[in-house]
Amino acid sequence: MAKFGDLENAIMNEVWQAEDPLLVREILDRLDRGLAYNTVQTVTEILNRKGWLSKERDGRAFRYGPAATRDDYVSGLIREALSFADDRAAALVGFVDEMPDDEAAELRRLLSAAQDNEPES
Amino acid sequence: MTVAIILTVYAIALSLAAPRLLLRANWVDRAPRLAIASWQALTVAVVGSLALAGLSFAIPIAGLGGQGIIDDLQACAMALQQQYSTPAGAAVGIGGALLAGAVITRCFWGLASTGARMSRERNAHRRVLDMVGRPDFDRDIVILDSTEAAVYCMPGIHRRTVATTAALHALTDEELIAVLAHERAHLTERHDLALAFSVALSQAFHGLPPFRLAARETARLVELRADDVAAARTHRLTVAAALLAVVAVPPHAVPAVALGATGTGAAARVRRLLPPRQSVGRVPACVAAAAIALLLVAPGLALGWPAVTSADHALCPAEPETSLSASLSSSGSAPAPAPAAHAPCAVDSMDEGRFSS
Repeated sequence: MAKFGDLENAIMNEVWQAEDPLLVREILDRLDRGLAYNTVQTVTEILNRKGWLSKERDGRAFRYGPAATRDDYVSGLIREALSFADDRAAALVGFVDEMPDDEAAELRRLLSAAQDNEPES
Repeated sequence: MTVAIILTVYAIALSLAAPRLLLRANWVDRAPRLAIASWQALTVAVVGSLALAGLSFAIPIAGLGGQGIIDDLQACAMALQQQYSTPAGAAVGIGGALLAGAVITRCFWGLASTGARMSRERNAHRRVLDMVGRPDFDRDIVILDSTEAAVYCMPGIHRRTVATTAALHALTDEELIAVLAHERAHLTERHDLALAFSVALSQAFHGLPPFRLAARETARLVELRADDVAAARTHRLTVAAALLAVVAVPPHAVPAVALGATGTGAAARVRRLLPPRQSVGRVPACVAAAAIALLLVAPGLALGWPAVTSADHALCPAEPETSLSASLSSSGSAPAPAPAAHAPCAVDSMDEGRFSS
C-alpha cells in the first residue's frame, strides 16, 4: 500500500515538473525505475480517476497533465488549516490565526520591552 | 415527579448561571486545563440532567431500590398504572419520554455526525498532504513549500504536524522548538476530542448559549494550554515571539467585525505570555475540581436520594445498608464522563512542576 502511494507521488512529481502533458511512455522513461509499462499505465489511470490528472487523446494514446498545480494544492491545504470558524469540526488545529497589522506591531514592541527586562530569555 | 422537576430546574439554572460564572472567573486563563474540564462537565451535566428529568417524568419509579427485583417491578408497574390512568398524568409521562428521547438522540446524532465529518475532512486533507508535502523525519513534521507562514497539526490516528517553508524561515531554532511543543501538546493531550465533543453538542442543540459558549471557550482554552506546555519547554517570551513570527497578517484590511470571533485570539495569547505567569494555587484548583465533580454527580444524587430516604419508610422494610448501597450504585450510573471527574487536583497544578519536588 505504501509502495503504491510512493508510485502515485512519483508520477505526480514528474507530471508537475513537466511543461506539457505526458504520455505514459514518457512518464515511464522519466521515472527510470525499471517498472513495467502496465504498472505505470494502471497507476496513471487511477490518478486520472481520482481527479489528480487530466487526460487528453493524442493519436492512439493519451497524454496526462496535472489537474491543478502543486501550489494550488498547497494553498488549498493552508486555507483549510487556517479556517478558524466556530462551526468547523476541529479536523485540523492551527498554531495561530490572524492579527491586524497595527496590533502585531504594538505587541512586537511590548515583547522586546519584556525581553529587555528578562535578558535570560 | 418532584425529582423530575428538581432536575429540570437544575438543568435550566445551570445553563443560565454557570457559563456566566466561568466567563467571569479570573482563574480560567491561568488554569486552562481545569477550565476545559469545567466547560465539558457543564455541558454533560446539563444534558444528563435534562435526559434524567425526562425519564423520571415518564417513569415515576425514583424512590425504589433495595426491595428486591420482584418487589421493585411490582411497585414500578403500580406507579406506572397510577400515573397513566389520568389524562394529565399520561400527558406528563409522554412529554417526559419525548424530552428524554429527543435529548439522547440529538446527542448521539451530533456526536456521530461530527465524528464522521471530522474523519472525512481529515482523510481528504491527508491524501493531498501526502502528495504535495515533504516529510522531514528528523523533526517529525511535514513541510509544505509556500510563501505563506503557517503551522498546524492534524490530530487522529494518522497524526501529522505541518509547517510551511515560510514559517520555518520566520522562526529561530528555539522558537521552532516552542511551536512544535505547542502542536505536540494538541496531539498528545487529544485536544481535538474535547473540541469535537463541544462542537458536536453545540450543533446538536442548535448553538444554545451554554453549548455554543462551551465550544468557543474550549477552542480558545486548548490554545492557552498548548502555549503553557510550549512555555514550560522553552520560555514564555519565546512562545510569544513564535506567535508573532508565524501570525498571519491579513494582506488587506480586515473589517473589525470579521476579526471579532478569531482575530483577538492571537493577540490575547501574546498579551497573556508577556507578564510572568501566575499559577493557580493548589487550594483554589481543588475547590474548582470538587465543584466540577459535584456538578456531574448532582443529577444522579437527585435521582438516588428518595431511595435512600425511603429505606426508613414503614412501607419498605429493607435493611438500610443494602438500600443505601443499591441507590448509590444506581446514582453512579448517571452521567459519569470520566475525564473531568478523576484526579482533578492534579490537573493544572502538575504542569507547574512545583509539587513534584
